Amino acid sequence: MGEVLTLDHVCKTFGKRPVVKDISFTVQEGEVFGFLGPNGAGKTTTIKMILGLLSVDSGSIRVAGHDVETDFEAAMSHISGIVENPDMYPYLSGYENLMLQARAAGADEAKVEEAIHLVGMQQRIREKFRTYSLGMKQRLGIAQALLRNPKIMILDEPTNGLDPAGIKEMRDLLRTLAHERGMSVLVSSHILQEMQLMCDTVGIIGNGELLRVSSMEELTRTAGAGLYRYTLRPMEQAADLIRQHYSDRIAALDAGVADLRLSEEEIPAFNRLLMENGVTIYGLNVASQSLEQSFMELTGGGNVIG
Amino acid sequence: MGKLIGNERRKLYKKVSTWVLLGIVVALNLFVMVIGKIMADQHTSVYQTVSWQDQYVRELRNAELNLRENPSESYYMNQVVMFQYLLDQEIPPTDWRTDVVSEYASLLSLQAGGEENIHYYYDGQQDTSLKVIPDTPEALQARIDQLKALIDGNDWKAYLRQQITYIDQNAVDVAEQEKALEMEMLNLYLDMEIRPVSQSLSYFGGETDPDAWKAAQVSAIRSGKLALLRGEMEGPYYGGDPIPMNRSQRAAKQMEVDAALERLRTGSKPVEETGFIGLMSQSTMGLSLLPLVLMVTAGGIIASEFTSGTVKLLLITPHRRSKIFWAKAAVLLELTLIGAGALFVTAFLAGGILTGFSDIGSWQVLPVFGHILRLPYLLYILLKYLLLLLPVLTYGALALMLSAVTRRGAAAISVSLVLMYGGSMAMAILSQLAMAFGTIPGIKFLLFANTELEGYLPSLTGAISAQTVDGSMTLGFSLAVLAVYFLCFMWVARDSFCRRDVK
Repeated sequence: MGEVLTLDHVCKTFGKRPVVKDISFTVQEGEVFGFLGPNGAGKTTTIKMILGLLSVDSGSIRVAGHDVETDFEAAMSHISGIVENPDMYPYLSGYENLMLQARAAGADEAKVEEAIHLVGMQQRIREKFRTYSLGMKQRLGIAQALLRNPKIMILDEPTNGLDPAGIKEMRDLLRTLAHERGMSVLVSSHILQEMQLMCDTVGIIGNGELLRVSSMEELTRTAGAGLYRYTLRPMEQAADLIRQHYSDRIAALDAGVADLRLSEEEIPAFNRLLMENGVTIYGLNVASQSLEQSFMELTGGGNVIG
Repeated sequence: MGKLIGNERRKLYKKVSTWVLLGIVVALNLFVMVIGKIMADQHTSVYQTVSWQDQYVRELRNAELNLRENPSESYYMNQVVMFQYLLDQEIPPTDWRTDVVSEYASLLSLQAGGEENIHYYYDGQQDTSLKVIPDTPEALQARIDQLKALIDGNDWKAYLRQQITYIDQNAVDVAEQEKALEMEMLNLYLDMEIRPVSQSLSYFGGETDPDAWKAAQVSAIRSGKLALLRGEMEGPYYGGDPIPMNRSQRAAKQMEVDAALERLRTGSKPVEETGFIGLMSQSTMGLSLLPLVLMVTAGGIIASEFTSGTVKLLLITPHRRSKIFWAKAAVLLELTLIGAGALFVTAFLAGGILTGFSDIGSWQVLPVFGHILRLPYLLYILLKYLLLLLPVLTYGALALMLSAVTRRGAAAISVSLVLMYGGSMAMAILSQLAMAFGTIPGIKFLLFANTELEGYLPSLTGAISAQTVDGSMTLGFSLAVLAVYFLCFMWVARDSFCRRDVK
């Protein structure tokens, strides 16, 4: 697995306001990388620098080994994407819009047909772009990005305007592209739940800083760091026991349910303690809100929608 | 690069508004041509509804009536004698003898009325700045007899030779050079076998000599040379101080004279306003509307991409921004050429339909950078189109620059409109001021002082207006200034498009 995209200490300032502060990460071949953060965190600015729309103040960005600033044409031939909205020429048809991009990218008509097929736009591809719904525009945007046969595709909030079925389709499409064709995908979003099912790796950005990069798996595991929800009977006895031995681990304690912060190693001992004292465990869950909460804590709250 | 240009063309030409705008410009130009043709036809036909004989009769009656009321007024006596004579001899208004009859009649009335009527004396020949008035009764009688003989003899060469001798012997009160000029011009008629044409009554109509244009050229040469000799503009005809010529007017006048001589030498008849070539020449006016199209298009070609967000897709293609910029500039140039081509072709067809391609084979004689060129008139009009495209392209570069700098379609279009029309208005005010104060230093380097290239070219009659804000300006100078502005605009546009962040 090679590195397809490398950001190395990238900074960007608008006027006097630092928007992106020293961001470094890499995207591997065939990886779906989630770029996660609240609105205004610097996601789009970073993406625009990756695509050469904004200059880089310091640091460097390489696409498939080519520096975006000094070797623009080579770098851009391996990357494609959508920034902000999938804007195209409204007075041209979807097909004509794709043909424009195809010619610029050096792709032929067969490639265009293939891309249209992949995103399922065959039916309405001859209609004017202005008649499309936002969801169709997003799909056309992805078709456009596929034309170049890129090593990596950058999608800025691709699920905007899609209904749940559309989001699922998009997710399947991206996973197919990444895992079957070896194409890397960088997806930005401020919606954690979408990312959870879509991405292999997540980079969390907040206030212009990259707070954390980890695999989705690891994030789910550690971000939830030992918040467990016990359903116990009888509750009074259980509450006494917990207050006696684990008072510093209590996150919440109320009728029939106890949320406790425990490390994995502590769980067997805790369970044993309960059973020895005649408390029955009716249920044990990893607390479901914990990932959101840890995301909120990392990024300092903001506009995260659960 | 070819593919990028192809893409820009598709984007531009699939826009309905591009063609609507071009269509409006072409239609407007055709409309002006048709109106111009109708007006010109009316103008020339207005005197021809009454025959020249009838006009003579009417003039004669009026003069007779006036003479009855003022029997001592020698002017009316003069008129009666003249029109009676013209009618009797059936001399048409443009016949060279008309002038001679006029002189003859005024000398007769001078003879009858005496010294005090001398200010009515009219020597008949408008072309002459010399008034040679016989100072003794004997000399007067001799001159009257001489003129009578010339009219009766109806030999224009004899008349010209007589005039040369007469001026040589009798014109004493005149600068030597001016006298020499008059003799030179009379000899020119003789050398080139040009029959003089009388101008004084030409508005009475009547059939014109097909070679009358030659006499008009001699007349233009004479007045041009006289103006150069005196260093003053011709006129003012109705009093006032003479206007001194500046350097470019002097150069233009010299060119006019040289071109007129070349016309005579090569037999290149000037075209008429109502003919095919005349209409085609007017059609270059449509080029001044092209900047409007370019402004809207230039606004769309860059700024609207930013407004609509499509610029992001455009710029993340694997092509350097400068290539994309030049592709856009190339398409804008192509549109300019298409617009000019459409104006030319539609003007050609419309002019042909209106006039039946009457004088399509005419030749143009014009001065170019100090040389006199003779070329087919249609080719000249084509070249004129190309020349007048240069300011249009400079305006296009201005619009492209504003488009790239503002990055907002509406702003780009409105700012360029305001700049263009505000600029020409400001220029009009400035040139008035420049006239009042002699000149304003540096004014000749302003863009708008150099966009009216037509002033450097001869009009249909061959006159070159050379109306510039600074007498030292020439066509070459204006072209150089335009080129500098063009390059600056393009440089700023390219730099702004290629370097700035896309936020």
